[in-house]
Amino acid sequence: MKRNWFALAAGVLMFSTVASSMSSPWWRAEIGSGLITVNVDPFFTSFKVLGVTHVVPIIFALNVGLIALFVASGIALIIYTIKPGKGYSKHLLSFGWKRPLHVTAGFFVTLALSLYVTPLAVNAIAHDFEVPTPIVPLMGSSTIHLSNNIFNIPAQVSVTVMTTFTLSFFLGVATVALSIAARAYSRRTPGVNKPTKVETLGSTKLSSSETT
Amino acid sequence: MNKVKWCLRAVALACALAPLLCVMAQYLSAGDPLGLLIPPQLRVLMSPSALDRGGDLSSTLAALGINPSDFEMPQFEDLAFDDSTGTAILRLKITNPLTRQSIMLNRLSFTVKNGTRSFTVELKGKVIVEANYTGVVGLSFSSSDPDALRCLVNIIKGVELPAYVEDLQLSDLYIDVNGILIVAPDLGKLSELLGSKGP
Repeated sequence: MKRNWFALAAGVLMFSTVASSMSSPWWRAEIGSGLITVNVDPFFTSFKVLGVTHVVPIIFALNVGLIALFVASGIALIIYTIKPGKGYSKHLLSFGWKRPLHVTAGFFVTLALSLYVTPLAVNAIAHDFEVPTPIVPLMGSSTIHLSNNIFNIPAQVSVTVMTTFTLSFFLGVATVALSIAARAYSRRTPGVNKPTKVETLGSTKLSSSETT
Repeated sequence: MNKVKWCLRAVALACALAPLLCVMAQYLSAGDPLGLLIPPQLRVLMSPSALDRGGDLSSTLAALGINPSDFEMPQFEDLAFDDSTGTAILRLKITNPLTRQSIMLNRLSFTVKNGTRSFTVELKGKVIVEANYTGVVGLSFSSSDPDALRCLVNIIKGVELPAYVEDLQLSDLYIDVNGILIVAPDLGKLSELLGSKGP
């Protein structure tokens, strides 16, 4: 029975992605030099104002749920790689490979919607405000105009904004690529995840050659 | 094999829902549904007393990482010109009221004009005032024209008062404090600024 090494790599990378997210968020927006920092991450979303970190409880709960789901999927893929011949292994692959894709796609869509759709909605509802679209660039730097005078002196007051995707995001993308590769490999390679024998309660019978 | 399939589905559901239900139960049982959406540290800002503006301002500011108790505006201590380095050193007593964030003066520059003649004064390096710091901070300024900078220091200190002092104008101010940029093309006459805010 051939082993699906793509699945093993994806499983290990899932743990690495979660661990990496704890120190570096997938996407970071820094307004000013450390004045406000927004850390957007499927596993630990937070924002920092004047050095004080704030976490929204319901988002924290969602993050914890995603960590548990990601780790469970990683374990499933690793067990699938170790025991490729077991009858349940196709279910493990099916359970594990989709999760990084769902999480990464969900993260990207949520982030893009927040940056592009929210300002459109605000501008449509509150005509007094003019929020730029996107609020901040997805990646790069810009300035937000704040005021035209300071202490009654005509002056342009603005604040710099820097946004970036970090290594954790690219680890997540690599996990997605490896998961898809694991799935494709199991479909195209004969003998991978197609058990010839299935043990059922002490007896042994031939199984159908179903694929994942 | 259906058992495995259903077991995995149950694991997925438990992973996704258990933390969510725990947090929701915690806040809903306490009759505080708003707590789900607002960080605990910022709850003090949303309390009725804070909303009525009758609350404790110190605790409100503390939640934002600001300690207002010892805060003072920057105070002038000393201004001197160092002939050996050709720089002007301004000493200010500064209090950083931020409890966890340093104040960084990344750039400060301005131009002094006297008719057609002008020279630029620029802060040398960055000035960092650590969180909660109170003390004297030295700001070192250099210029493309050190002699003119020496004259400017003497004028500000009142040592020299040449006839052209009334014509001196400040322009092209650029300040970068913690990424907040202040750009003022025209600050007006130096004598007017010194008259109202000088040391």
